[in-house]
Amino acid sequence: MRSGLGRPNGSPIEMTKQRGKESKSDVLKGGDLLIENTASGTGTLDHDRFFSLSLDMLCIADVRGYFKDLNPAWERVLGWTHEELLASPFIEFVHPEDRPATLAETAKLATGADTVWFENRYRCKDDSYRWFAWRATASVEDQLIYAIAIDVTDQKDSEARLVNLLDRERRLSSDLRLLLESTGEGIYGVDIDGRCTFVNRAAAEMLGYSESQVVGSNFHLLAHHSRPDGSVYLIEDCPILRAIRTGEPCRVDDEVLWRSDRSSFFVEYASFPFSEVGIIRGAVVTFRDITERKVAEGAILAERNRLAATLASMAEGAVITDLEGQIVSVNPAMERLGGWLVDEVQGRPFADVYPAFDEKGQLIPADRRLLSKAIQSRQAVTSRGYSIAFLTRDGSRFPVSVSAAPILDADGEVVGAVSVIRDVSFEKEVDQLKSALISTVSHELRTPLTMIQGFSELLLTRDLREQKSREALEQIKVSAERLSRLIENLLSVSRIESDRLAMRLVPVDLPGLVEEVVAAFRQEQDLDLQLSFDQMPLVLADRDMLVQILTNLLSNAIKYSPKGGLVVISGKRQGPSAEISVQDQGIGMSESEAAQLFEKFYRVDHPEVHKVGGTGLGLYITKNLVELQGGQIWVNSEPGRGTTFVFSLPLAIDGEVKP
Amino acid sequence: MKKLLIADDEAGIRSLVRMTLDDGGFEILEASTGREALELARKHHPDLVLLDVMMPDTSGIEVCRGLKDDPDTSTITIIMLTAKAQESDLEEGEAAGADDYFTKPFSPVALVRKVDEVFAGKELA
Repeated sequence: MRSGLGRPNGSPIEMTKQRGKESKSDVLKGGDLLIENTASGTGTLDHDRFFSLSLDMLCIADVRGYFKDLNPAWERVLGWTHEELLASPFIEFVHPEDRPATLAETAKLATGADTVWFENRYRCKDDSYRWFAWRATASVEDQLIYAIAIDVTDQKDSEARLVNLLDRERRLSSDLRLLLESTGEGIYGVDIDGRCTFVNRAAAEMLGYSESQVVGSNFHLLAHHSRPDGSVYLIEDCPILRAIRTGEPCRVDDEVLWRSDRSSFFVEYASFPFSEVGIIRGAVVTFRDITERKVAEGAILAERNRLAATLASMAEGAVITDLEGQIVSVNPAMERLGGWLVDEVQGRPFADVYPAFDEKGQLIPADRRLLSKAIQSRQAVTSRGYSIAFLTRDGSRFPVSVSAAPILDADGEVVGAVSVIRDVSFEKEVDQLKSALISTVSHELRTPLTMIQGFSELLLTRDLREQKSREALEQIKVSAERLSRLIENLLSVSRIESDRLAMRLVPVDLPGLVEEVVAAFRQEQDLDLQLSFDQMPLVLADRDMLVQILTNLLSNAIKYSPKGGLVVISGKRQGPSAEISVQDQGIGMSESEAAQLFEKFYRVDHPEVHKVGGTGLGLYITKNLVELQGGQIWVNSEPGRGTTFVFSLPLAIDGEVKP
Repeated sequence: MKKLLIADDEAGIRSLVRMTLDDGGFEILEASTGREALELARKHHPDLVLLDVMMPDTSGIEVCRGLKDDPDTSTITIIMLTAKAQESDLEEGEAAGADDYFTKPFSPVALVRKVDEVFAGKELA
């Protein structure tokens, strides 16, 4: 009480002010008069002392409702001065809610009844209230009430607190009960021996037991006795019980609980040990059925494995980046292609690790890479042709085809991109070969066509003499034959490629066949051909193929020979084979050119070769035909010094010499 | 009598040109290589050379340039015979100084007309 410690008038005498019946009439006059009266009559002095000393509040009031006299305890408790308390009817100090009861009690007193216990609240000077408990009696004849009040505020407060506490605890325990019963999580308690002390409804339901079946039983033996694979789960190994032993909470999400019907379900559980006064008493365990999550996780894992297998099996390089183009991952093919291991490139900018160049050899800036375009446009994009060149770790460049697509998250937001990169060196080469073939074939077609068209027009428009008509017709025939040879060559290639070349091996008299082929050439043009054959057994060969081989090699030798150049065809026995060589004195070729000679569409880069024409198919076909019959073909050549083609064929019967 | 040189490595083409222009009152010379064409042109000074672009040893373009660069043969009219009417070929021929070109396959009638045209133009000039 802030003001309760103050004194009404600051006088020390006040502490010993005395009361007496004689001064009753003076009371109305106030405290000053009381002091004047202190000297009178020593008989009331003891009473006055008690009056002043009492910690309880003593007062005398009249039936009109005014205090007549008050002991100092009032000032101490309420903070009002003595004068202030006397100046207003006491009811005005009473809490408005308590006024009716107070007035009723006062009225009751006036009839002569005593008040044994009555409580009301008095207002302090600081506007707070104190609880007073009253005992009072009234003197009917002098119309005065004598009353003692004790301050029971503190008592009231602790009483209220206790009620509150009990109420809260009651509410809390019912909330807790509600929580336990309403949650979908299984919750149970175990003591230090693993015996179940309580279990909520969800737990019991999940396990297929009643609560009473679970409580009191050893939980591990009841529902945690086996591992997911059905093997025994020793109680010593149980993490829930270990948590009780160690005092450390645990969380597990790869175990199962077993139902009463012996079926099991995957759970995630947590065990929280609890202690009382420092001693662990047991643990509270919460668990959840995560079967659905396990199924979903399994599906995600399977999907991830599928994706990983797809990426690993791809022949194309794949790079996955984030939104900023930083590499997240690359597949094994990309490691091979670029020369960088996945660990070396993770987190680095895609465009830095894998520089690319446009057809002019200019570095393609990061924002113009297809990957960036895919991110910007949110669409899959693909490169065309062979315009993009790729730079590898070791500095080599090769043409690539690139495609890129944005990667979206669940909300459809772009979070990165994947780029698939394929080495198209081979395709580019094939494409160039194809263009070369079209070019050479059309050139090869044009000459015979020009002749057929020209001579037939002459035959039709001019009145040619017999000799000239005949010449024109012969030219047409030769051209037609040339065209058919070209077609035959193209078909041979097609058959070789698709393994559909039919072959019939028979013993063949090689020198005799060479004579026949050479005779056919001689018939068409004047040649300096020389034949030189050792005696040898028959060779095992397909006659038609052998004719084709010889024709190709001979026509090449003649085509590239200067006018009057000598062509020598010779044959000898070499172990179990016959070796036939065709030698010319033509332009020859370098070693590297010779190495590529038998490749499809390959043509020596020499002006003469270009001028002479040809499809670049002859030697490719020849080589395949030789090898098909079990032989080999090779070439010895030197630029400017002529060329010698040599091929071998197996002998028909080992050791048998032609008679 | 006007002299005409046909240079083509294909004997069939040469004989076609010869038969086409046989009755036109020309003396016809034949060359099967570029080098041969140069030799014959320098020796005989033909009025017209029909020059195949693709020939062994020396290409038709080189022959053309050789003839046009030499004051002795620069007045000879040259018609290039090209297998393909590709821009690059035509440009090359033009750069080498060819007077005209003619693409294969060709019609003899058209060849006669072309040759007549060339000579008519030449006489006017």
